[in-house]
Amino acid sequence: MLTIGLMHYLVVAAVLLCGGIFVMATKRNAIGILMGVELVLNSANVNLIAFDRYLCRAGIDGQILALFVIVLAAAEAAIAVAICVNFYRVLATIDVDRATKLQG
Amino acid sequence: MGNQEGGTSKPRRGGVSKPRPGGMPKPKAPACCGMGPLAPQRAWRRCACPCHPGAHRRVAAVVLALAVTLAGTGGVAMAAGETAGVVRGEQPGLLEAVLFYLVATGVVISVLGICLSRSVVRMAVWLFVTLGLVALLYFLLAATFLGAIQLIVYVGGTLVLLVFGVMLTSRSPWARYNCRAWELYGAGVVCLVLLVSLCLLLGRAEWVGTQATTPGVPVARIGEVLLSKYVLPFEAAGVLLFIVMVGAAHLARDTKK
Amino acid sequence: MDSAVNTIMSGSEPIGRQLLLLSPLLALVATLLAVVVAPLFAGRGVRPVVTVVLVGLVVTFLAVLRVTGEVAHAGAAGLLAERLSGMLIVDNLSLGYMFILLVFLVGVMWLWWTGSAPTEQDAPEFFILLLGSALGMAMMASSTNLLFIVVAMETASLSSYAIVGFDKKNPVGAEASLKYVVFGGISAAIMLYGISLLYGLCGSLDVAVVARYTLEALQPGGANVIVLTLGLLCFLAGIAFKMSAVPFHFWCPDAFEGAKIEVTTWLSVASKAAGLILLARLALTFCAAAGNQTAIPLLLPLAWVVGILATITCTYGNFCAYKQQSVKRLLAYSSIAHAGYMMMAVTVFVYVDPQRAPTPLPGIGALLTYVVIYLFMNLGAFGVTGLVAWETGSDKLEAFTGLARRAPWLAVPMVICLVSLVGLPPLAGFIGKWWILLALGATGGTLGWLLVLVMVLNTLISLFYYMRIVVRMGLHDTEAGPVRPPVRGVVLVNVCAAALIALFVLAYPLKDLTDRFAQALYLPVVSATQDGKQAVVSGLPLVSDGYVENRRPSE
Repeated sequence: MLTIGLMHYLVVAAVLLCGGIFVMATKRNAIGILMGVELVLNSANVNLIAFDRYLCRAGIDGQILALFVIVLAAAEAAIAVAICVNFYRVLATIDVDRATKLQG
Repeated sequence: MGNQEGGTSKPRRGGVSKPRPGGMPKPKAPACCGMGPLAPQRAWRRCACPCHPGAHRRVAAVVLALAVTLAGTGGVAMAAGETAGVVRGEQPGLLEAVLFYLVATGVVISVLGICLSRSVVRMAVWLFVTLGLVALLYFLLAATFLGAIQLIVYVGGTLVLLVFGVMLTSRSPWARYNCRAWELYGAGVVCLVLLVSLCLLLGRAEWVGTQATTPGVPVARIGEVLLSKYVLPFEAAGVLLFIVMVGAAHLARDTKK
Repeated sequence: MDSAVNTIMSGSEPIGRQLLLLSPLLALVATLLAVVVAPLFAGRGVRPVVTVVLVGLVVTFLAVLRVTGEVAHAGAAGLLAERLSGMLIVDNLSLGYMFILLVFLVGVMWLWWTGSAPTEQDAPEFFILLLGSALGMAMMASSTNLLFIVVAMETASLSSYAIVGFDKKNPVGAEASLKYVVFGGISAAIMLYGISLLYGLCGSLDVAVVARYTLEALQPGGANVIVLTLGLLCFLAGIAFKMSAVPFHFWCPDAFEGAKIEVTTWLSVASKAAGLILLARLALTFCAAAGNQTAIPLLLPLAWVVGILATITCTYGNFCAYKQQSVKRLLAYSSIAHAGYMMMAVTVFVYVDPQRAPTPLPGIGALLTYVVIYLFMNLGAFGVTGLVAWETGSDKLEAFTGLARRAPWLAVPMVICLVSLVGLPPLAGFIGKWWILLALGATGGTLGWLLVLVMVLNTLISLFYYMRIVVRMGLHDTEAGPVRPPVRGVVLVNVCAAALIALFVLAYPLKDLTDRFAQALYLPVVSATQDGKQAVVSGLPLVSDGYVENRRPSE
């Protein structure tokens, strides 16, 4: 219990993942959903870095992928916020439940 | 500031947007709460109207305090990680365990905070805490470079971007978007089941070579690998960021010339 | 510093050849940068931008031609392949996709020139995003490294999100891009979690190693099957999102209806094809890992997953297309169904024994043929829809009433494209389906015959909703006057219709051509060694007589 191992980090990552999924499922605000996405990405990153540290077979690739994930998350957030701003400018809400013009 | 923006500069294009209560005509007397600006602070702390800019100052103060705390804790954690031998890849000790449990508890609490808070700004503040604590986890995992990048890019960049998004896209940043109760409980149950089964699953799996902690990777090695094996994705990411910049600028720019 | 250069040099190829093999992608990036610079000298008008893009595409085309010659001469190559299968794969499959992409880019530009160009204020931005997504898709088609796949998919996705909402004043477009970015973000995040699990299990980001590990785990008594399955399914979810396979299709009808029609056309073919080629490459890598052992049957569960996904996808797409009133949305659902048909071709690989495979690989040839034909069908059908929508202001079914009288030069190509989409002879759509059916039947397995049945039944179902449009154009009539679309648009859709007839006549030459791009593919082979570590044997292409030879002639 007192020796911290791989499993401890995997559990923290699982908490982040499930929290992220919960946020994506329950939030009605597009930016709120994005925050859920950020949580899931962080969970993947914790996994990757923990594998790098605790598995002798793994090398540095996990950290590099985590680095790329951080960059991609920033890029995705930029695009998503721009789209939200545009959506708000046109429709005056970002409540995804009110995005109902396209259905069928 | 942000809420005044959102509250008054209403989109005027087409007939698509519904007329909103408390819009342009009477900015002085918003219909949303009915409390004057001199009402006791306790009463309008949770108010969802754009008439109480003081609320923002409080949020800013909280965020600043948290940032300072996080930075301090980060420094302490790095120092402690160094003393505990994490970075040098020595045998893990008691200090590391205590630090890990502290940080992990914090992560769980802040994730719960994100899940349960209704206003987006509160979510953003909790997310701020989570991301900072995850950076501390990276320090504990001897990935100091990743921890620093997480603090600089994620906490300092991406999250601020999201908060900008909240400020720009809400009549009032305190606006709430509620979902139905059964959705909330249903999602909660599903996620709990998922969490438990995931933990059981990952616990049963045979990870080859566990317990053999490796010493932290020096930053120079990361740079070397980025410029040799991963040079193509590295360049591609540069092009990607450029395209994203163009796209985001185009979308967010106002149409009027 | 030296070590970095050494890694590149010692990797696989001399640096000059690596640059040559990279040149198509470099030319695309250069075009993109030229579009940024051109407005500084020639203004933000349409004409300079289009000129620059066309010149860039021609240069890219020449580069692809040159590299194709090089690959035919010296074999496929993985760039930066220091240990395993390499970061970027340049082989016939990726080059074939590049050709399709370039032809299609020109077609989409033509459509854009007809419809949006006269009123376009932001032509440079539009083309930067369009070329950006093309670049991402081209990279998707040529990678077997998980990290590179992620970067490529995000490049394609992020520029697609932006380009769907490109028309900022259109509330429907804004909503479409919002839904697209939300679903895309979720699926990318789930995919990354899956990739992190795969990395933990296999210790490498190389798909070849993942494939090797999967084969070992699938053997009786193998460990970690559940976690591995979870990881693979999460990863597959990300690719299914790009292919808009059910249940990851939610974005597709909305994004397609909300976007400008050029963008819809672009995404409906290029984005799906990129996902499919990526899936095909993964399937190939898995087969290569199985080698000539008895391990091939172990991959059957994976083929069943893809086959079931394909079945659900095409059935769902066809049933949902029924009740649509908007032709654009109807075609969006039809494109979901066609993605299902193309996924069926991927399942064929599992029966391929890479050491003794008859070349060219049966599934890949059929898939490439289908994509080529599908390109013309969709360009024509969406083109007519766009021309009608631009002239009448509506893309609803009512706008097509009596089109045979009001605009025969639109109605005739529309009928040809729709009949071809159904897959009836004597049009090219039939050929596309025919090769896939033959490939499925040739496997002789239960899965193959089931999929044949599914495809035939779905073709019958789809007949009715396509015919709704034909009946509406031919048998109904209205008071409305004739539709007079611009001549260049009429030329485009008629060229597409003519191509569909021509490709039916030239079915065998087309098959020969696509088969040429379905052979000598880059197949990394990883063998298991002691203590669970993997070591590469070699990156081996399939060569024409069914024997294996080393990919570098110098050795």
